Amino acid sequence: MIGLFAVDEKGNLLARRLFQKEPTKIAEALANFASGKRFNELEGLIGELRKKGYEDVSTSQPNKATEFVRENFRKLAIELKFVKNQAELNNLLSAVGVASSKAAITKVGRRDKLIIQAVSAFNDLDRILNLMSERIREWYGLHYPEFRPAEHEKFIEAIVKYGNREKFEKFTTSMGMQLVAEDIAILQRYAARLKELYVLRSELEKYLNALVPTEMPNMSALLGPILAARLLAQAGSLEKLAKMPSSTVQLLGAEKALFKALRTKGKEVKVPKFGILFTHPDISSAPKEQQGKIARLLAAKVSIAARTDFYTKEDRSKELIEDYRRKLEEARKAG
Amino acid sequence: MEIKEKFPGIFLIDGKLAVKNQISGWRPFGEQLIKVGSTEYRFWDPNRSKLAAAIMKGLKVVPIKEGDKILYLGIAHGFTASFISSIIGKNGIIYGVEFAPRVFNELLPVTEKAKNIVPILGDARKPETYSWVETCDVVYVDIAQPDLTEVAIRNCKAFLKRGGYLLLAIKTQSIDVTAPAKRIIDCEVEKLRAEGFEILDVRSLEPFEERHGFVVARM
Repeated sequence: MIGLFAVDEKGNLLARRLFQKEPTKIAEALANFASGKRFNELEGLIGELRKKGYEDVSTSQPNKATEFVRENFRKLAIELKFVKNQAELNNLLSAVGVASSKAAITKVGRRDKLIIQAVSAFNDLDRILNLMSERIREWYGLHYPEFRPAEHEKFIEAIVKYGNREKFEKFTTSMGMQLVAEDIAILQRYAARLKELYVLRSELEKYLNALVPTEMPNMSALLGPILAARLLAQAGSLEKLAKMPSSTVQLLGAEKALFKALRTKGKEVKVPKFGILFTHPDISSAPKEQQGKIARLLAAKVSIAARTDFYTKEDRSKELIEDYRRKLEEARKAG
Repeated sequence: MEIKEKFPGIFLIDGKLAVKNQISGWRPFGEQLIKVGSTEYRFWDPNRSKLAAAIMKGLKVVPIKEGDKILYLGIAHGFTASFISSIIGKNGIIYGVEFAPRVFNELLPVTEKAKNIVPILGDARKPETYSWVETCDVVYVDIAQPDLTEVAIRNCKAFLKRGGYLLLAIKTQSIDVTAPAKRIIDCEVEKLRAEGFEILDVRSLEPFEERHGFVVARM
């Protein structure tokens, strides 16, 4: 915090280099020191020691010098005239802390956080769209209950386009109630906003489809960009996902059920077999008795993919998927 | 109105916990303030702070006093730390280590006002990354990790002065969800004893925090 200190094996102070009394400079020096990088003050100190005839200089932690400074910190800071008094030292400490943490936060590579936010927005939007679509179906159904296309988007577009049921090309009769212009107007405004949200949803999807493969090529190839992003969001970060055992990956998104099963020792609910991974077609379309097995298999491959993505970012998805397909066939045959 | 100084710098106002407010009108977390004569007090909600909860549960010793140097692992948004900051005053200092960059958005504004809190983005498992921290009077640990006791012990050995105090919040669910809370707390306390800590008090934090324990020990 105040500078670099070198001591011999007995703990006698040999040499020192004080830092410049500037919070950002001190923060930088501390970061360099912690990460083992060489920097000016450190080079200078080591040079001085060499001149004095000390060849074997170690900077690894923990060491005697750290202990020495830690125990005598306040005394040293004042005796060496680094600061005038305790109050000045406290102020400086606070400023260095703020500068260090700000610098460290900016440095953290956080492209994965971008994906997490985008896919969470995508999930939110899905929920909102469903809620609003259900509402407008019930609402417009008062007027024209016979109009029931399977897709929400078609339904909404028709309302935006025609409004009153009498303007529909195929309209003949209806058992719904008559609506006046004001009733139709607010319905159409609601539908128009909803339509925009559907456009936003497809834009978000397009964005994720482009972003996820560049950040996680292997995960994305194995699971598809959206599911890969959802797993990432559930794990919290790519680093966390890469360091997870694959049994945890298998159950991501099923934490509530898992812990309930563990707490009640499996009496109330059974231990779940999968979480978000269930939405993968290989699992959801498999016969029920095979689902657990396939989930385990897929999770194992996801783990490898996540680790490759986090540590190398190299695209090895081809072999990974080939291997997965082969094992999947075996599992299916074995039943 | 009845005001009682329960511990140095910690007051009970009609049964509710409070500290003297270091900056007039300061309420970083929307706490209630109350003015008694010329002194302003800031209420300390035991539902939001494990230290406050432990005090309300009858903690016998609170070894934090004016001028103390404190290493705080898992400072999070700085709620509890903002009250400790008031107790130790401007001659004391809190080195607040937090692992999650996310909470610094809330922590930094607090430390900008409470100048005796030094925010450190670091990993309590790797004390070497904040090796410049000085020897402290108290180590306060509130990290929800399975090895929280081991992490606390390692940090005490590096940063706590001889005869200094450890305050340890134990979230039993981070250690084992299946075993009874009491058994886990006993087991963690035993680990501290084996390392030569003198156990001064152990409290359960129910009903403020479910399945949590709070330990005060001296090294």
